[in-house]
Amino acid sequence: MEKFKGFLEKILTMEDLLFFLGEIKLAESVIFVKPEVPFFEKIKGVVSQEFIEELKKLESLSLFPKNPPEISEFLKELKEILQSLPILKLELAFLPSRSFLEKISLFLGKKIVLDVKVNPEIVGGAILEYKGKYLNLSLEKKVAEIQKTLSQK
Amino acid sequence: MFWQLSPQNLILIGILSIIFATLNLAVLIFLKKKEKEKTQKISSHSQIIFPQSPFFTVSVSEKFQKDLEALILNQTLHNLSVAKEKILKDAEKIGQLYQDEVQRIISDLKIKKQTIENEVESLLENLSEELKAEKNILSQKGTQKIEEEIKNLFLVLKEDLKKAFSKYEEEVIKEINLAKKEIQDYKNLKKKEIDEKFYETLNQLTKSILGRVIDVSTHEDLVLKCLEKAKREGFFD
Repeated sequence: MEKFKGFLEKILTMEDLLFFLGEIKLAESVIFVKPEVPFFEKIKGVVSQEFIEELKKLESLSLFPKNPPEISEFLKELKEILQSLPILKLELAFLPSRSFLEKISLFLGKKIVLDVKVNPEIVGGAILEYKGKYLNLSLEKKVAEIQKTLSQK
Repeated sequence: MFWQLSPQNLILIGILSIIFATLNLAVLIFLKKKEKEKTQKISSHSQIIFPQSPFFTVSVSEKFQKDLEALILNQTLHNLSVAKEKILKDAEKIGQLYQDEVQRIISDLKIKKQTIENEVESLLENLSEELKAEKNILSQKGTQKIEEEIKNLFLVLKEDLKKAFSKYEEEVIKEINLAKKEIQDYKNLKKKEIDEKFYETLNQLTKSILGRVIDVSTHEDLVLKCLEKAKREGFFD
């Protein structure tokens, strides 16, 4: 898990997660093609430079395998770890910046993928969904509650 | 008694009877002989033969026979004429009798007819009188009865009208209540719709105003506060 820390740090949102899962799939597709050609040569131009750099960091630390079967196993493990990350569905009234999402991630204190949805109708606040739980903390709900109280009066 | 004679007397009577009968027979034969002689004298010129009696023959002259025939014919014609006249007279008499009888019957019938007519007329008059009397009685009774009937009818009618009005009144009240309820329901529905519309507008207005008023940093603060609340509530555990 520790060896994948660099990848995990880069994954903040659902889009990031899907991007890396896609990269892994592309890399897997070339592992056993032309065994004489080195792996990094084969993935050049196939996957993103960001993904290659992360792999090279691990290689420099002797954390990345050399032969194709081991590479395949490595990528499979990475894929499984990424797929097992918890996801927080976050409905917001505005489009959040990357820095704000990082702030949220830090605030949460553990690795949680943010699945952000922008909906101006909720006025403000947020609607949360996590591991089957739901919490509506939007301003829309508060306005509705105030209106309900007014109408009852 | 006479029928209590002795046998000697009876024999005597028998003998006397035989003697009397013999004498009688002798007288009869004598008379017959005399008559025969007389008949032979009359038929000296003609002979008449009686086919039925071959023992007697009488002869008459031709002229006598013709005269006799003419006489018989004339007599017969005369007798026929007399008979005819008699028959005619009798027929006339019978006709007259019949006519008289018929006339009498007709007269009787006329009388009876007149009697019957009179009786019928009388009967009819009586009947008419009776009917008039009955009519008067009935008329009086009828008038009273009609008045009573009308009175009763009015009472029944009054009662029926009362009932009908009562029923109608009930129905009208029912209808009015129903209409009132419908109006109230409609009012409530409209009120609810207006309220909903009002709050919907208010909601949209509030959201629109708030959405424009709230800046990004405020939004971010709000989100962080929400997350803090969720964390406090153990939402991420």
